[in-house]
Amino acid sequence: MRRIFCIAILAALLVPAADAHAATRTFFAFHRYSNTNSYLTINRQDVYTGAILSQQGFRAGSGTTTDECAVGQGWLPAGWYDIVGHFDRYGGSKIQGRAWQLSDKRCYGGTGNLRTELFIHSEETSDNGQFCPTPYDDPFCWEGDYDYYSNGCIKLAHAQPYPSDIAKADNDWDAWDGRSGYFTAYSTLFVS
Amino acid sequence: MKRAVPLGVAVAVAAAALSIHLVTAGGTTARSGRAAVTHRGGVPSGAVVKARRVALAGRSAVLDVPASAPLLGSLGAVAVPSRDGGELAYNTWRWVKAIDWQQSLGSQGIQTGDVLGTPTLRIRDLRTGSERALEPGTFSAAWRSDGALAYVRGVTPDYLANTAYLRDVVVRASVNASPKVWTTSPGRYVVVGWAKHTLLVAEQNPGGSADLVAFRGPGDSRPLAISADFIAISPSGNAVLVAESYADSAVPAVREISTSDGTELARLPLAQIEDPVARTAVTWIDGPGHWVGNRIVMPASSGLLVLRATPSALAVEQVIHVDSATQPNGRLWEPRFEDASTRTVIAWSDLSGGQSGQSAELACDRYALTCVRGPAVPFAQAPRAIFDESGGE
Repeated sequence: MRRIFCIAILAALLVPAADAHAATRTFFAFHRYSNTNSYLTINRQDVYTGAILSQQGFRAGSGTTTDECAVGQGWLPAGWYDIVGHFDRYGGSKIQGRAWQLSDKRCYGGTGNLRTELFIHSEETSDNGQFCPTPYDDPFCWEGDYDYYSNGCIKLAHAQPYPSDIAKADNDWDAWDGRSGYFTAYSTLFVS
Repeated sequence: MKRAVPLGVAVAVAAAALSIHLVTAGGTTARSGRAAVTHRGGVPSGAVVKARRVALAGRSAVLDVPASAPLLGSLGAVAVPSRDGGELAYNTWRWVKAIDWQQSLGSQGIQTGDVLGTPTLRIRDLRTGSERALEPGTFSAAWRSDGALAYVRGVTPDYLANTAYLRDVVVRASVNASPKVWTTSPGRYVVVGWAKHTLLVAEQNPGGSADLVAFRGPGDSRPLAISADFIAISPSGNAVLVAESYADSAVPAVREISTSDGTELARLPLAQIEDPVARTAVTWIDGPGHWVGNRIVMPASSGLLVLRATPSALAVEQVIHVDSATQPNGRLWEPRFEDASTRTVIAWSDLSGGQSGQSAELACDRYALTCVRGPAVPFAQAPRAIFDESGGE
């Protein structure tokens, strides 16, 4: 019920900011409950009425601590973010595959540290597969719930049954928004 | 007879436990448990900087510019004293415009690549009160025992929104000497301290944890630890303590590593460190901490953790549970032993609830298991510790 209420508020807030030429817009909402068991929704909204036309929600993780100012450890700071890039085959040293890059954010409502280079991602290879060469925690392999821990980003599962959560979110984004590469989608993630 | 032996052992164990309890109740040793927090107007402060106000070695001063390090954040000290105590290197930051951080940058007309702000290290001569600024784009400093100063310098003076801020590690033989670049290519470097004449640097990875790298000179570097958060350097400079996290390992541990060759000297899994109140293993350990003698204090998910280190082993001495530190945005930052006795730990914390946006200092008596909390101040004036993690001559 609380979650539905939050989405309703978000929907109302988003209407004035929406592009008047577009019929719908896509946004994420991330509700922080714990480092390994929070909740991310992707939403398609009618820009004129504010109605949520489609929505899909996923278990998601963020950080290893619940202090949003802990650089590289704390969960994602609260507030609005732009999405400044979306990639289906991101090829970073620590992050690969399907990913959204977020705008910078200063924690504690704007009084604390500057958190940078933040993403929504999973543990998969750049071609959206799995690389699990050891019996330990491999960085591009989704072994289990411990993989929801992150260094401050939002993480979605790449786990069976397929399509995985990261695949569903990516499919929704591609179908509803469609942008990829570097761009700026204004106020497209809200973290509470 | 068969029953008498275990009975005797049990009596001996009970007696030993009783004696330990009596000793600790008397407040002469450290034991794990919940620390009772009381509020008081004044707290015995260590060396701290609060925006422009500095208290160090019994002296106070007013800096020309407020100390601030939003980009360095929790990865290092905002102000770093030279070994002889004559100079203070401190981080400053200038925002180019006011930003509402509850909103997104784009909604305020700030695009990727726009200048957000500029970090600049400043050096204050504590004897004369004079100050000078180093190059724009500099932050994160550590002093070598001979007066050399290491720091990082951005490839551009300004931090640009939503972009990687790459920087070089540079070293000045003295404050007045010209800077020499030690890195072969710019990266996401943060100086953590000197271990004798070896410079330890954390290299951050986008979206990932940091690696610890050792520099012996210009272009001469090697990795010390992969995916490890820096905690502290030993006073001798022979060892460094790092912590793994659950983000990178299913069985994370605290590791003691030789600074000379990267050998792992000791390892203590987080699963073996129990929060005495929650009765579960701690879930994270972080730095920077403080290493005095063979004891190291550091922030942990319970509040504070004190370890004992030898050249070949790590052991838990005390796990202190501080209720407020287990709440969101409540962790303790930059704990420091007050003196060589290691009895009192001074840290600071952000406050929540009705005091959100404010910070306060805590002084914790490890024997009495009590913490005294100082007055709440705005976060911009948070009482941040002044320290240099460097060790060894």
